Amino acid sequence: MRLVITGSAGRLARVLIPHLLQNQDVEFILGIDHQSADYADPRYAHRRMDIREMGANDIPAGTDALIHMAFVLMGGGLGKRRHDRNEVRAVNVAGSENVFAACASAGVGQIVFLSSAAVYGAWPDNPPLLDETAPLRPMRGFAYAEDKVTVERMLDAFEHKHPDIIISRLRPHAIVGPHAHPLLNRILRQPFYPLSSALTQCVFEEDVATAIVLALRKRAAGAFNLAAQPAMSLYEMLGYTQKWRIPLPLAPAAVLHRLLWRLTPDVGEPGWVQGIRHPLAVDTQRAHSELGWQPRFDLPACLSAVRASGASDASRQHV
Amino acid sequence: MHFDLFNELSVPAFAGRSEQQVFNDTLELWQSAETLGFSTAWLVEHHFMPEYSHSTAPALFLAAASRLTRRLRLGHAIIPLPYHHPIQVAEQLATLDLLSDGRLEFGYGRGFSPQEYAAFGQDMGASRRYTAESLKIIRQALKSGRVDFHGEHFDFSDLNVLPRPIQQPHPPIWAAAVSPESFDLAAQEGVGVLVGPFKPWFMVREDIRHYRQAWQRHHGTAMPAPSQNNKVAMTVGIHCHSDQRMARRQASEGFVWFYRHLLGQTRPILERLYESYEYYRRFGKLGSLLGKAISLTALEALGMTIVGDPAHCRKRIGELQQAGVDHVLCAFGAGVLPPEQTLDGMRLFAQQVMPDFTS
Repeated sequence: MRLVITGSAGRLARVLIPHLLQNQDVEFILGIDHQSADYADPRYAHRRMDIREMGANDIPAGTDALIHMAFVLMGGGLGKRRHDRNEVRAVNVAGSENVFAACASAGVGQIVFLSSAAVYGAWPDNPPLLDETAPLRPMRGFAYAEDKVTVERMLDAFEHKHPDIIISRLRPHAIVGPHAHPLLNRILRQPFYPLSSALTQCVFEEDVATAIVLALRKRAAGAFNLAAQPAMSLYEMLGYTQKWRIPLPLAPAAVLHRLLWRLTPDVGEPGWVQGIRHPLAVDTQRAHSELGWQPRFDLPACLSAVRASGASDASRQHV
Repeated sequence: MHFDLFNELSVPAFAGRSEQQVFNDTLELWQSAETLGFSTAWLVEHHFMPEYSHSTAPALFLAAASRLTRRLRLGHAIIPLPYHHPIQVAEQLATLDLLSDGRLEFGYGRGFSPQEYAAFGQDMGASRRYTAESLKIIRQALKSGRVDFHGEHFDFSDLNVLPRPIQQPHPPIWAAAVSPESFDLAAQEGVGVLVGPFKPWFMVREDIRHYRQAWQRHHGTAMPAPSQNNKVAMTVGIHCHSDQRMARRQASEGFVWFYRHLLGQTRPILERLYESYEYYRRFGKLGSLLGKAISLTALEALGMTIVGDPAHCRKRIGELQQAGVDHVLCAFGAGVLPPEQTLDGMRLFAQQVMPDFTS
């Protein structure tokens, strides 16, 4: 298997690439990222490049699949430019369009797009578990989700135009784990919880990597939700990671959050706080039955792992 | 399985409620419904049908409902496309989707009343093609915000249709399905089917099988694409009471009135229908049979109503589930019983019938 991975210096890539390299049938991986990343394995090569500049020539001949993970998550890596919605959109949307066009010209057989459960949005009328046929309804103002939906819509048209290319869309819920965005880990390791009983989920980084490998092996087309079960409220979740829980009214939390976002990207963009107000939990039946995905970490296990990694994480700085 | 509400905004003279009371009572009923676990409230569009249906401007009613509810999805169905300009339909749908935070469902049909066709200046014979073109235009508008269409009835060059709906690529789409052929058409279009309250259950059961087969023929067994909807919804008149006999006693007059009106509205029309409605004609005969001896017992036997205690309701809903109904559109109290009785029946149904089917 010869692969190209965009966003290969990103958080999930740091879990996925070693995982892929453990497989003997992975002959070659070209990683593309605007930042550098290196792996000791000679089968891995890296190219520093903005995905907006990528062309068909950047995809090596004989590439079987491209895993598209390059995406601006919560302002990561953009510094002050995170406040520039056009800049974020340009990377996420125009960049993705460019990547897909390059795949079509280079004759890549499969595209795996890392979408997100955020495409469904957290809305009051959400059913207890959303399956993959639910309409995409991002929270307004949550740039990350809006852009994921735009790219999925773009893929709808692309899929229609290129029926010979297998398109796999993975929609993981909030990814937790030692490499994941520190925000989610941090939320689970502080005592404050918003006054909301809305059900939510998360998923362990390693299980997402496994799902990507399965999607490649099965050449599985379509959308797949990825999440640990069972869904619970943030209050219940904190019960696994915290001794004490302190209720926090949502409105002041949202105001505080907006203020902090001006100071640091670490708190994540404001839109996601809205997401705590209402339920967003996904049905993962399809990934089980069609990919054979069996997450190693159910929700309580995810949370225990987050708690256990607390001490070691305190000393780690993310790049 | 989902449980929804179905409303026609009936204002029967015998009930002694004004139009305004009916509108307000219905909005209140919807507010209660969302706390009781109902999924969607559907509202029809009819014209010139006094007492039977005063829901002539459903978009306005739904706009009001969108601000009074938070969880209940809003079913704008059926919009008879031949009576409307497709761009305006698309604009209204998108506006409602915004107002409701993406809770809109859209169902379309062709309409069946010659009087409505005449009043809106439309040719009934051309309705199928007009509807097909309208649907294409509405889909384009909702999906991309751009309409570029050159057909027999419409000619548009690159229109910028606003606003943009929240649900992407568009709110779920449903088609009214009556004739077997219309089930096939719906499957071909990749849209869900809404079965009205005037079809005996033994026919609907066949239709559902037909629809599933047609879906497979057109789209295979893969999961529906983002723009597709493969659900079946069926309308049933329901009244639930802890005492079986009381349920029937309370329901009898109102239900017979509603169904007599419903079949009365459709029968004269059915008999004069054009060739594309051949199925109606056959049904028309059945309708006139029914008209002579319409009673709660006959309606129950034909499976058009479910009236009884919770055990009876569970049994009957179980049959619908078995046959593959995804959404039951409940016309509680047939929309004509006194509001307190309707609400009591709805509550009891939500507490003692629904939990068996929603988990």
